[in-house]
Amino acid sequence: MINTMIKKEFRECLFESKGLWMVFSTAVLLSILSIVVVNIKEGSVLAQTDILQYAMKAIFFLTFIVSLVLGASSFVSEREENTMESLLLTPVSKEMLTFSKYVGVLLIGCAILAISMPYLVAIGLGTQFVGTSVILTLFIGGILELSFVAIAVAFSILFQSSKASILTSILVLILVFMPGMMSGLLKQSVIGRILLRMDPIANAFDMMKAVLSDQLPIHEQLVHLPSLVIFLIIAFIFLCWAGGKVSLKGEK
Amino acid sequence: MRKLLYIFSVMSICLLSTQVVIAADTTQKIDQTITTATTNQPKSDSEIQVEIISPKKIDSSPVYDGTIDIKVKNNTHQTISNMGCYLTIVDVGRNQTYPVDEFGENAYQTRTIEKLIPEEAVTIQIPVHILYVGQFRFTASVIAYDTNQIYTGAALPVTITAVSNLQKQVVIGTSVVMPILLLGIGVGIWKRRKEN
Repeated sequence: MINTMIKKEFRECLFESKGLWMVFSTAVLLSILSIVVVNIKEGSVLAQTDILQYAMKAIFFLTFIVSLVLGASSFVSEREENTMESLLLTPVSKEMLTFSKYVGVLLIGCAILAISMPYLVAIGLGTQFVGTSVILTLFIGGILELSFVAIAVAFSILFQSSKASILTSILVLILVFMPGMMSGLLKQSVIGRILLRMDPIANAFDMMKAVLSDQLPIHEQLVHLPSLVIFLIIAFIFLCWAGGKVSLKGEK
Repeated sequence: MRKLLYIFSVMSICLLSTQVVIAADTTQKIDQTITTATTNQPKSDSEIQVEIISPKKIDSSPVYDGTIDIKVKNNTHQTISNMGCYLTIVDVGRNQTYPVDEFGENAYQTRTIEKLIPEEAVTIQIPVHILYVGQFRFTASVIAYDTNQIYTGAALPVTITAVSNLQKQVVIGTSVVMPILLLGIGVGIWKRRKEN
């Protein structure tokens, strides 16, 4: 039963929510970025490990955006298309329904991460970091993908309109990404230091920088993991709480 | 839920504004590595002589980690107190200066020199962590806070060359092949669905 549900949700994400085209668009965007980086003058003076890190950040951002949009519209689209009632009448528990939608969206995210790998390998060729960058992308990207999709699906359960759900999910993504983009004085301030220590994206970026730029062993960078794991746990708790609230109408 | 949306909006606006508002409070009195030395070198024309004594030049590839040793000497006959020594980085190729925290956490901080008696010299060490590729000039300056005078020494030439084995053809090839491949797969799946 659960397999059937997951397959159904995956197909819905892929075909009805235009997931297939989103995956294709992601590939086109990554292609454009790669071609630009290897052709511009600035790109030619960048260290290859820096280009690798930029590529990883771009992959994360694109993967999360697509997953968030799909996740945030998963339940809301059922409501908007008036199919929620029939879905609730099926002998599937709310938790199972939430789980199948969650896994369906997750699979699209995984597909994007998978199609990004050839780009990463192509950029990293010639360095000793091809394997490391692939492992880091899958590992960090995997944890963050699990977290962001959980948040987006939870918002989809709670909100009544897809606009509100998608907007809030993207807002969360921006908020979580912001400390990682901090530079200059704010980074050195007390607020900055606290934010950087807590923020999962900032820790992920620090981990990437330490391993790829500073060439430190990957096992020494496990200190950055707690914030990622805590973020994942919070996201899961939020999803579990929201899963019990699946209803015909979301909250206005 | 609308409240939640509002809270998120307010939070994001607050975070954005903090980035703008936080003022410069950079002059941190950190643990200094100052060694006092007596020198017999001839007097410089300047009241305070600032000189990068080591290294004489940097010609490396990323990542470069090193320490810039700066000698600050009081050439006057009176004690000068309350000074700050700092590094400035000029990017020659890109025609810009850098916020020096880009060159390592310790590079941006000013080093406080409490006082220098006549003819006294101190050596200040500033660690730098260079990730960027390019041609730079590192200059060391000393500001006397009481008189607002700034003394700058000769610049240290820094050349960081990329060690890039980036295989342009492979990257371009992948960038062209991947979308075509995905488009083919997508069209195939779409046609099969249509037939079914």
